[in-house]
Amino acid sequence: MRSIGFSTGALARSDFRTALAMLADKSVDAIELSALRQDELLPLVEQLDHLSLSRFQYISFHAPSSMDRSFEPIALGLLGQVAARNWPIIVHPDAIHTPAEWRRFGDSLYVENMDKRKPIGQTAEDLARIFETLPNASLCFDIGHARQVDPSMSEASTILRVFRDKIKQLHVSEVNTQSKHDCLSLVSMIAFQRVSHLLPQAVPVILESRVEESEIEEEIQNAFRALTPLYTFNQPTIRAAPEIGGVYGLAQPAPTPNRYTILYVGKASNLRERLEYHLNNPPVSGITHFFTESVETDAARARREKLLIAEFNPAGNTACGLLA
Amino acid sequence: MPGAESNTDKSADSFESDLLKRARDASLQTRLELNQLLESEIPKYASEDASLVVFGSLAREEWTSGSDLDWTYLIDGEADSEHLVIVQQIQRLLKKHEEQFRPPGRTETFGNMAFSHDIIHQIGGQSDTNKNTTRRVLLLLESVPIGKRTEAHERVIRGVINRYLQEDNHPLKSDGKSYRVPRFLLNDIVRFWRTMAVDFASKQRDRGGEGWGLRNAKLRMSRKLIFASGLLACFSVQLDPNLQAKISTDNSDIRFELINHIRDYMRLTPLAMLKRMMIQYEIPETISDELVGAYAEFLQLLDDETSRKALENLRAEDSASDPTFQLVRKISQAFEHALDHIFFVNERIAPLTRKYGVF
Repeated sequence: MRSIGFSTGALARSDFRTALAMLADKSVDAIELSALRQDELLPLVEQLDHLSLSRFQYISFHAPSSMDRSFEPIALGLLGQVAARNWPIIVHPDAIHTPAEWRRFGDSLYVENMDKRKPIGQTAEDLARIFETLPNASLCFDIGHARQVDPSMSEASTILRVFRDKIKQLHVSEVNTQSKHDCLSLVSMIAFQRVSHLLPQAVPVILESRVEESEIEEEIQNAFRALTPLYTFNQPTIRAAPEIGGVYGLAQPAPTPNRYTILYVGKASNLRERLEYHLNNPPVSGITHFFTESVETDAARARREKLLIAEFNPAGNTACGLLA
Repeated sequence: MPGAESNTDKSADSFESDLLKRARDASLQTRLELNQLLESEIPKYASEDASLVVFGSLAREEWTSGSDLDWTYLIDGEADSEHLVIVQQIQRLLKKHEEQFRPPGRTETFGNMAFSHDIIHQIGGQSDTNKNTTRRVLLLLESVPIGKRTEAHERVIRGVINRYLQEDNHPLKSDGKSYRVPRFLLNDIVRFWRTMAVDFASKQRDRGGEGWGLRNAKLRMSRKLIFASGLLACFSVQLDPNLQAKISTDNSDIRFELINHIRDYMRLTPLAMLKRMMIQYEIPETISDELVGAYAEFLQLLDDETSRKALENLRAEDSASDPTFQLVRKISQAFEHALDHIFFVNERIAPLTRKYGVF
């Protein structure tokens, strides 16, 4: 299962301590520390030693989203302290004035694709030009920005195909008509689902949705739904499934277009083998699609399976008495 | 700068005549000047949610001395009452410069604002007016955004293509090895052409025969060219070997490939698209020369003030004895002869014309 967490800026703007407190008892293992304005950078960097971050398996750092040219050298110095911790640095391409100076961060510099307000970085063509000047940099793929730029998601699919190997982090949220990050709506979840099979599966997800503390867990579940690809349940696609341990779901289209009913959820130490078995011995009739999530240990698989069964109440599991 | 770049196909340059090159250069220059005028008088007239889009000869790179400026302020975002204020400023400004930018025709299809919602959602059904259909199909086949803010234009075009493809339930042939011609899109392009033809007769009646000659010439040539390019873009989905090589088992992937493919074709001007297809499907050089030559002659005629005026003033009842119109007939017959070869003789295209073009 991929790492997932929130941006501190989304939860509490510059108040990163409050944001961390909001996540204290939530099922997240990733965090993005955000200094979205210039004047937030120094206070955050100064506090890094004093923050309790040990529970997070993945930590990234969002540099100010725009910067004056005169502030750039100061920012580079402060971000050097972040890079020394081996944390990736997320940066907006239009915040970079002197690309040569940013090359020092190598592949730990994650350039983000932009929303429609920004002059550059919206399309695969734009990104190609940026990576010409920063050839070693990685990509933080903001799927909400990509949808805002092109709701048909065809531009998103091009970015994902061209730069798949460069993608090291995902930003996920709804991006509304005023280019503000918001919590996921059904329409954006459907759009994300359509490119979910193109997303690198092991890459951490940072949610930028502006949510209340009580909405955090629901937003995480919605993100999982939106990002988990569904594949056609047949021999050629199953042959491409990974031979690793994890959980899986078997599904069929729901009456509502672009929605699916989960019919059965299971766990396995070899996902491909198990799916091939189900193809010949379906646990329930009507299966047309499947999804998989890689989960490393058997204990974690059992926990995830239980959660999925509780969430979807699949007919196949209920019939087997697993929910009893 | 977008809008100042040509959308002709460099690989088909061998077909270029001096006149077509001149028309292209004039188009690019006019687009630049239009943007400069707008920027100087109405700074920031476009935004991420609104593009100023031109159609017609300026978009097709066929700008001649008597061309009209067909434009629309295309909005894809929140409705804002200020949009109307901007449109009125643009109208006033272009009125002041109407010698250079002649106002569009009287149908109100152009020269005002259009919203993405109508264009994307109202395809077919009672609310899809002739104006909406015309805007939508021309947006796909002959539109170019002016200035730097081109995002809304691109989003709407991709949204329209996506909408057409969403309604096609079976994008692949039954063997799963090749794409089908996108029938919904094709049918709307056919409908657009028939609408043009029917409107021609309707305008003849409404306007008491005024402007008949020029409208007739355009119907025979530029409107037919747009229709032919739209058909070929749809046929290319089944014919293009590069596209067939990208068939996926995933339905979303299939649609993304189709959106990108159709968008890439429609980025070309209609004439450039025909030129590319003539090379790709090995149309004999005599035929391609006939088509491009006839079209260049047509533009030459429009560029000549006397001929254009003669056509503007010509009524149907005088056409048989009018030398300019006789020349139009001769040019359009050559143009149609070449189109007949492409659509009814070429062994790859003709079967698709039979299958999709009529029934």
